[in-house]
Amino acid sequence: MTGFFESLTYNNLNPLKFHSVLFFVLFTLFYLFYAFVYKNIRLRNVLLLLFSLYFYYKVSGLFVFILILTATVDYFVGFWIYYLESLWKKRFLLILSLTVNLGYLFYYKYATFLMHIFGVKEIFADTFIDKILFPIGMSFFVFKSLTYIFDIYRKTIDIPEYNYINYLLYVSFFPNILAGPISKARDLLPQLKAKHDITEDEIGRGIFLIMSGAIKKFFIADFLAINFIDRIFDSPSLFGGFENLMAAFGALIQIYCDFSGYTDIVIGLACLMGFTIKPNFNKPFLSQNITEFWRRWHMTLSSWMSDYLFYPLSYFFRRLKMIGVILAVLITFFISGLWHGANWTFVLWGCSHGFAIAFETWTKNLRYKIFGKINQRFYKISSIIITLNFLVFTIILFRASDINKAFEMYKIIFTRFDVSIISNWIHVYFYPLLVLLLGYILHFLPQKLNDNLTLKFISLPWILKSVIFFIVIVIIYQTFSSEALPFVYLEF
Amino acid sequence: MSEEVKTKLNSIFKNVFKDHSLEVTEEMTSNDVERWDSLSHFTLIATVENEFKIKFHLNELIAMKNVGDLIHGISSKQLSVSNS
Amino acid sequence: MKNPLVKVLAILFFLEILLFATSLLMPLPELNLNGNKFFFRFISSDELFDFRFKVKENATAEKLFTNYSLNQPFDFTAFFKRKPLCFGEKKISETYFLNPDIGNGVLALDKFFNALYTLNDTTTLRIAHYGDSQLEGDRLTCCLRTCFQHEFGGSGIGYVPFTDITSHTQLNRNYSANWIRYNVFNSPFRNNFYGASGIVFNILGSTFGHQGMTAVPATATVSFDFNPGVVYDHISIFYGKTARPFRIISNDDSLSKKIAEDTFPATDSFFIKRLRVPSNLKKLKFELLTSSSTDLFGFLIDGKKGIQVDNYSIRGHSGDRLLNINTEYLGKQLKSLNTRLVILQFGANVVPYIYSDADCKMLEALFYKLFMKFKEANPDISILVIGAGDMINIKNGQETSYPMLPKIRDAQKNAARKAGCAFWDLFDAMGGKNSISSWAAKGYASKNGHFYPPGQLIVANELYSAIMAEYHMYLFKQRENNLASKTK
Repeated sequence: MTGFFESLTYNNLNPLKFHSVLFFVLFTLFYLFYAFVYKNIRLRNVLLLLFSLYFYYKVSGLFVFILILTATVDYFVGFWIYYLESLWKKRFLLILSLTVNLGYLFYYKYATFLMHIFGVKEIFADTFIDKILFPIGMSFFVFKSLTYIFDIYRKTIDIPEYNYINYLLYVSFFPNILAGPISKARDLLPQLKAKHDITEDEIGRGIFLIMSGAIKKFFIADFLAINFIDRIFDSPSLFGGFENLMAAFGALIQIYCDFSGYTDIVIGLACLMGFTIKPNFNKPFLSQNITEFWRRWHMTLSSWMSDYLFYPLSYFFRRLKMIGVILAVLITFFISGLWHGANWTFVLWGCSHGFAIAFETWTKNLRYKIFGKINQRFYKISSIIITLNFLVFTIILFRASDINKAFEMYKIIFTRFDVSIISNWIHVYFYPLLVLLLGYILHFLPQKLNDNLTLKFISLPWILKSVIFFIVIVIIYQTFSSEALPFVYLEF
Repeated sequence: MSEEVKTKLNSIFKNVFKDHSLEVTEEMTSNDVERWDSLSHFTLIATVENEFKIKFHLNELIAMKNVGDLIHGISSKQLSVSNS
Repeated sequence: MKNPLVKVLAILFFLEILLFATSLLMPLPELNLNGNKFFFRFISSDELFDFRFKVKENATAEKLFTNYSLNQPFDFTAFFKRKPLCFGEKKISETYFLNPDIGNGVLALDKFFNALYTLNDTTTLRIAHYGDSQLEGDRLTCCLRTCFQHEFGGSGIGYVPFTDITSHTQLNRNYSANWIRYNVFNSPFRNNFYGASGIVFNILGSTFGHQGMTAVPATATVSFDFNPGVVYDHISIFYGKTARPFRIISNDDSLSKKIAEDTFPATDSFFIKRLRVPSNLKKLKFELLTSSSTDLFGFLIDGKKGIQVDNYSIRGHSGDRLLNINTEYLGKQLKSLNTRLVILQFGANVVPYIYSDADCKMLEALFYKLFMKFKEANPDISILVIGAGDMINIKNGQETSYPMLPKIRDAQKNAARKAGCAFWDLFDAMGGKNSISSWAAKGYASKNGHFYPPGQLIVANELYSAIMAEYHMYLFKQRENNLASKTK
């Protein structure tokens, strides 16, 4: 166990990750205590809080204090909003909390973006950025805490959280602190306050989710990224139209497998501790339109945006009827895009989805009529195909490192599409293509299959569960340790 | 009183959701009407506010769980209007 | 009732046992399936129990290191997974090396390969290796030279300047204080007639003259103490314009004995003239006596035949200043020297100035101009461009890779492709982004991208292998063409 104690301190070059031996060891140690303490709510929450704060420290160092500060401010603001009578005071507190929370977020995440917009010289920006590291997961835990504030303000939550430990734990809960899903206060807080008898079912489900999530993220997503997608998005001009198009298809499934795989691991971990976290994905590529897509993709974010941004906006614009709705949609998606990252690419991506939904809203009646007139199966399938194509097309914006690269890719796809290299390409990029198809196939498999597998896994004796887990780890390890497949540029 | 509200609401619903077979009930929610989603929700609310000459606060709307709450909300607002 | 969480602990502990047990089986032998090698691994005990923070292993770099440490002669073709050329069809090329088609099925390196192919016993074929501090004092070039001379014959160490900022790896050099060294980069000459190396020397006379234009005789000395293992056939003096003849007195320094005195004629252009010095001496001292302004380039320590690789390095240079050399003059020198391959290895020194895509576009245009200049100077040469390698920037005690490096590499590659030059991607060949950490961890390079001798050996060998892989393709094509013309 060389270097174990040194590794317990924060190292900014090596932040803690779920897929590390260190996390495995730390989690096991934590679980050792948890297994004997979990029936006592108070002890359980203290243990969870300590581990969550330590976890965040290991990931982001001293920024753990920002986390504590945000949670503390909101804890008190929640009280004052509840107890103060006057609407204006409540509103003032709401704005105060928003300013503090979003202020941090703005500063850390968007400061450099704003500097670019205002033309601050890049050299200066470089040295400035050195001083600003970014608290990882801030976009997520800030939004988490804000759900509490909003719900208190709206009286969706009847009484504020009196227990500071509970509230701090809610914000810093380690499974979903780094990348969601964004659990609403009204969903997670009650669970934290209640005792929960963890069943064999939950344990089995949790482990199964961790395994399947890991396969999606490491075996499919990371493999595709390293061996195929990254290189094309890094230098699109070195590849032809067909390759760039395949990279777009690949990027879509890669991002899905990456994010949904990671989410599965998170939900699985929470399961092991007896907590239910709402899922983020529900077979998104089965969507027949973009409106539906956002009810199946990153569901906790769209739920957040819908409840706390779209709803008030459409309320505000309701007199404008259809125009009002469209305005609300566009603003929501503009902000949603921006939330994903401080880059025009994300903004454009968000807006394109916003326009798609606006278009769908506007043409809803028309489409309804068409649906009534033609073969329904045909309508559904073509809707799915059209939607998928739109997603592939816009994912280029999401994934490209900057606007120029994105437009370069579009240009290449439409002007340098050469079918003669396709057979060569399939031969050379055989394995990535296989993995890409595997990703899509796994997505389109019926959920019932997944559920049956889960049940079968749950019923296995614990030794077999361990062996299967071991096999999964070994499979994934092959993709960690193998070198990237050689770059091959098909000359044109 | 709430019967009048209900009748008027009926015709509003029929118009907004383009479904002439629609009959509102107290327990009805957005799940029960095909075209009632977050996008058409406020078109409905705006129409209701217009027809009944009332104004809802955001928090009031959030608290409403079904059509019954809506009827109640409309009625109480009308009451306060007629009382002032 | 058994606590289900205890079951989880049981699962985790059993998992750990399985991982530990299989870690003892490492390393596993490679499996060979259908000619494709498969490497199956379990997590090693190192990874299970060593929590120290290690520099992340770079797989490409590590594979290179293993190959060289095992001293196995490895199959060039297999390593690059090359596919035979499909004539007239789209070519599949490996990323590290680009040998583009420059028209009519002729590839960028064909001119050099042709010269290599027709090499005979009477001529020496030269390769010019231009670079910056990465190459100073014959670093890296010496390894490349060894590779070529081992295969194609040749001896000697090629071009040696009289003075340099740094020591030379193949010899110990001493020189008098009155050498003035001009170079295209940071010490411009009064005109554009530099040596092919981009360097020109004047001797400062006892009378203070204007830029070395002294009319009185001026004498300078330089002595070489060759490393053991350096063999040569003859030594030549390489010089430019001189109004009046000058002399060189050669002494055998081990015996402190004069062995020759040669006089060299005036010229308006340049000359390469042999000294009457016997071969394979170990220590030599030269006295250069000039009677007018004499532009001197350096010595050429050459073999009788085969290949010679000349090191033309200037510290801090990015290559663009070579544009300052008079093109025709440069071309004539390269022709006289019989230089058929020009290797341009730059990039490290542009990095601190490149911040944006616009900068990269400008860089690409600049490099394109440089490559075309060499083509214009001598259309019979092939040009090979080596891209910038990986390096680390240390800011505020923190190490980061330069984010613009891949783009700089791309700019070089694009310019090379456009100008019909070959390109070797050093950045990817060494393992890509942050790979320098792996090299530095092994002591093969410094973190700012300079290779130490073991690293130089690996890089030179990789480069040589890449060139040879292309050469074998060339030979294959020649044979096909010969067969085709025979059957006609």
